[in-house]
Amino acid sequence: MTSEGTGPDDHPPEPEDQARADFYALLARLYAAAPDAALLAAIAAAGPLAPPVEGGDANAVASTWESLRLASATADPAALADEFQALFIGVGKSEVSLYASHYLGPQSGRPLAEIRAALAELGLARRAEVSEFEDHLSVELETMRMLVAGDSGRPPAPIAAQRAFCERYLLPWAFECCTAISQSPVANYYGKVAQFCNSFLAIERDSFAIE
Amino acid sequence: MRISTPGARNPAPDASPASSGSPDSKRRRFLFTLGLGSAGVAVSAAASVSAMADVIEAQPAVAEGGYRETDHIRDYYRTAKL
Repeated sequence: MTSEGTGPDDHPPEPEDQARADFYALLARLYAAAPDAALLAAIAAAGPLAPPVEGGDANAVASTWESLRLASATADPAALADEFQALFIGVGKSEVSLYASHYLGPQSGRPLAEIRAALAELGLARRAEVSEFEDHLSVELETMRMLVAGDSGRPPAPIAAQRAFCERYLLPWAFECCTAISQSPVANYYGKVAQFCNSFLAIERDSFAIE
Repeated sequence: MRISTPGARNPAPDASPASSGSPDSKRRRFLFTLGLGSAGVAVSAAASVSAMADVIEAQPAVAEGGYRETDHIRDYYRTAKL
């Protein structure tokens, strides 16, 4: 019934892939700007990630998601705006960089130029009005959302293409970035975001490796 | 509430993830056991409230060189319905 293929048929995505796309969308949004009250309420109201089998293994992605949900229930949007500013924008120098170029040394080439080329190849580009460069964590996460779920008239990318982009551009530095955020003394809510991001990307890494 | 055909694809709870199937079905099974299959509607709702990070967009095929269209070219495409 399910084909491996990439046919033009537009079945709705499987629930797991829809969830992946939604988490990528959510994380991309949270790394683009601090959440407003409506988004915090929606995260708080989203359910826990229950293991399908009763007594099933507790896992990092479920527990970090739970922490993020609980933090979202009590967070103050104004305080989060300050936290985002202090962490990622800063006066003069931000506390933590959200750019791949900061984490990838010169031996890895020119991350910004490479991801620009990769996006162009995928038929994507950052919006003209967006100030973040293409190697920003939010841009890379949003690219994954588009690859997983497709977008207006654009079919989802085959899993091999998702894997290729993720392994080439996101995984080499995202864990280090998330660790830097969660260890920052400035981070509170964003520590929870980073821990969830870290565990979510870890299962992405592991699931891509399944053959 | 929109849940797509839940019964049709629920693997049996005791099915071993690695027992059979294509890499893709094994991958799904792995995600399912982590609870991602149950994330469903509520997380979709949170993601849609977030209205997307809105940082990238799909590009119409561009003939030569440039990787990014400008706003006025995009407006042109939109109105001209090429």
